[in-house]
Amino acid sequence: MNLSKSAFRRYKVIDGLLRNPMRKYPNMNEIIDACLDKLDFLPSKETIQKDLANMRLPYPDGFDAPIRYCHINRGYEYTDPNYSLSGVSLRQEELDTIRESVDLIRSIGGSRISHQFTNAVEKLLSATIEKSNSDENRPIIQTMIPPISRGFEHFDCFYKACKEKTPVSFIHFSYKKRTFTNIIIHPFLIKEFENRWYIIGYSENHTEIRTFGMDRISEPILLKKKFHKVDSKEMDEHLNEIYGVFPIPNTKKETIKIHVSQLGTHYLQAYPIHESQNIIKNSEGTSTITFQLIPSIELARYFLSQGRHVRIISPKWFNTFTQDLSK
Amino acid sequence: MKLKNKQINNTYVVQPIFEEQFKKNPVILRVVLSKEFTRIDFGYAAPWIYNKGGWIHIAPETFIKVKSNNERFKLSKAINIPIAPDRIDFESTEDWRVFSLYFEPIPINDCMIDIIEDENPDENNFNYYNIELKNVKDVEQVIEE
Repeated sequence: MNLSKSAFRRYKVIDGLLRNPMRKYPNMNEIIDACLDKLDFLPSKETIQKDLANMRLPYPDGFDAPIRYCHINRGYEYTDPNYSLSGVSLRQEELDTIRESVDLIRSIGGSRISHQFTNAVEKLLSATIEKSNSDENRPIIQTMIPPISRGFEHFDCFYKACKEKTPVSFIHFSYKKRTFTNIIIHPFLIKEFENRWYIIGYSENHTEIRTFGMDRISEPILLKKKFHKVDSKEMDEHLNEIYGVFPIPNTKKETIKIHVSQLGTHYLQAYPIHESQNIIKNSEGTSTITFQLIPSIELARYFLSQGRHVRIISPKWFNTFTQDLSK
Repeated sequence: MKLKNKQINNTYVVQPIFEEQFKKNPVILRVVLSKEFTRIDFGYAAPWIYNKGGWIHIAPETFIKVKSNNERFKLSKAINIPIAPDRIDFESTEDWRVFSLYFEPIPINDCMIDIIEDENPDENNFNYYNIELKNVKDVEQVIEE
């Protein structure tokens, strides 16, 4: 559905008129007057006719509104007296709760959420909340909203593929090797990490679970093909037991132990990086921290980025791996 | 919304096989066959030999030749690559591009094809010979309504 916010607001006005038991059967002029009164905008007769037609359209193109023109009473009506644009009638406090929730979704969502979800939120807003431009409605939560990244347009396609268990053929470009590959993936997870989006699934080409950056993916095509199901334990590992997205090949979950400076301890205590994080503080304020994780490239990079504040105690090989990354 | 499959016009996704597959630039990555078109997907990595990666375009005369009977199928549309004389200039030797060429539909059968940009090619033309399309009806595309 491609509806503007102003159209949504007119629909709300029309809905209010059609549900008003005190003044039934509003006619065209009354609808136009109400729009002028409530929206400070004088729509044309053609605009309102188009709005009525759009409201009648079946979901998902419209609202399935049972609107008809009553020739006896010379006005419009809902043939179903229980119909309302929002589906249910909500009390003011319920509307307030929805308003707060939507603000929060907006704030944490931003460009992270797909176009379809944005449309759904807009529809919810239009159907339940009368918006004004006053300072009162200015958002009071703000998170970093990165610009739309390359490949993000494939989000809906991969979301569907994961949901419907459909394999996908796509073209992958490796930044390092500068080569293209036609990959067939059986995806089960879309993961965001540090504002980058990844697809995780069973790769037919590699005959194992692989992770692909969405920014390097082109031309995904959904395939009518038997879906390769991945063991739920393996799926859980990718969901919960990795910091980041790229596990170091042939590694399993293990205890990773680090020594952290006083300053570093403050930050890791305030912002744990994984739920398995366990801090044992020393008397002078430094700490020994353990994690139960599958070692990953991102974890190694994170430790490196902390400089002298973090030193990997064990496993030894992971320390060597991390130091090699900096060379 | 559920994924629905159109039974009327099946579209197939084929992995082409040919000897020089990964030595060529652009590389042929995928062939899509339907009764309405034949689509070939390419990947091109701008080479270091040209200043700022050079430029590309595709000749409007480009065609597919089916080897068994030499029948030709004309280029009908190009996506993400300009048709000559237009061209796209790269900005650096690190640039890359995926593009698709659409042709008149070739028969949906196993076959060997050539893709010819110029019948008297020089080193800059995109000519490909003896591309094998095998088991073409094995993998079908899901068409969304």
